Amino acid sequence: MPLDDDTFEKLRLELRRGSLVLAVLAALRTERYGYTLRKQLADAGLAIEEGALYPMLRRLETQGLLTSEWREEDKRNKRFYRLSADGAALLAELDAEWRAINASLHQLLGGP
Amino acid sequence: MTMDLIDRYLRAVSLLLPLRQRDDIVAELREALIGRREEREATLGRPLSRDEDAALLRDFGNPIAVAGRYVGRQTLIGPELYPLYLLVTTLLLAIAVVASLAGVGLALFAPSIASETLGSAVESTFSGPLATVGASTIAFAVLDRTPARANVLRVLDEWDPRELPVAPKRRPRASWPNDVAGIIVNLIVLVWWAGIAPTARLELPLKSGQVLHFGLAPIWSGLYWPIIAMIAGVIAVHALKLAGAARRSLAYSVDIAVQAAALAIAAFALRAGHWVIVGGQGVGVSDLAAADRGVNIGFLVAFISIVVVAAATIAYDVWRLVRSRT
Repeated sequence: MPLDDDTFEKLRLELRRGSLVLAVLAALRTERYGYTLRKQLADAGLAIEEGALYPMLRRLETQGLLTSEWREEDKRNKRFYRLSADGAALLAELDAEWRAINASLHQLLGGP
Repeated sequence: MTMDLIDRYLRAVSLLLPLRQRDDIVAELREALIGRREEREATLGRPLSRDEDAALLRDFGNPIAVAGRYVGRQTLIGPELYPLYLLVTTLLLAIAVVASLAGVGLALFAPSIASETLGSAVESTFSGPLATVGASTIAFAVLDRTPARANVLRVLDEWDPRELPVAPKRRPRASWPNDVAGIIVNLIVLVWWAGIAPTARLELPLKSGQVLHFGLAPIWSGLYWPIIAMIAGVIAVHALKLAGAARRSLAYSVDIAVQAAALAIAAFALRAGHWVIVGGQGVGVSDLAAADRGVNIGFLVAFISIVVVAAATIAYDVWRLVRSRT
């Protein structure tokens, strides 16, 4: 039975879901607010909906991986996020894990 | 973007947010929406129309979905307990369905021993299984939120592969001896029924010249042809199975019809309430009555068994049929 687009889309989203947390943590080594963070991720090829991004930021902050503060910029109040010390340590571990997975997949999938 | 649309949107979201974080989340979402509007307006070089505003909010997401992402828990029953929930609920549902159908069957065909009237039995056919699923769902949803959850998960985790049941040795695929035997036996039954059964009379000699006679009640003469058709159907099922895999679907379809016929015959016969007439020579009236009652209770049990087995077989055949087509 040929796979339909829906199956591909589901698997693609599943594949991306785990990597998005890593991407957000990595992007927040520099302080950003929601809009600039989303833009940076999109420019890097990892577009994420705001409806998913903001709850994720809040969850990561609750877990102690991010810190945030409201600050005025361009006459508007914005919430700026950045990686916490715990977040930085975790990011280093996740980074190593990601590279190991990537290397394994590279080996399994073949390619240059 | 007209602010009233943003305000209405954020109000809809806020109603579903956790109270403690509500204001903070709404402020952040407002900032995100305004940022998105400015980005869009900058791209177009003009203010957005009301329709474009609405499209932008629609694109941002349904308020229920957006608020839902801020609620930590999004499942009624978590993934760890879900497989157990599914298994338990399926088993309970199967029991509830069989019990409900048995209730309807009894109320319809043997009202004297049914505990419900037909109306309430039919009603509980729908409400019983639904209530079972509801109760199981509520029980597991509560369990998933209480400390007892950890105990259940611990029990699930305490398993030993060596304690798993041994897989039954599968008989070789060749089921033909079974089908050949089925054809022969049913042919004998067919010949017996067609030739002798309606007038069959069994004599059982007892001590000191007493004899008990067993004869079929008049109900059976009305079932003469239906039973012949049913036995012929059973023979056809075995023959179709013998014809190989290509005829298996047809065999299951015919078997469903045969079992439905068995159900109907048993249901019709159950109405009579008396299936064997017991007579005798030199036997007391009270002894004859006791023998008559005993034999007919045996038949009642047999008919109820036939109804249950036929219903289960139909369910199994339908399942096999559906599975063979997917």
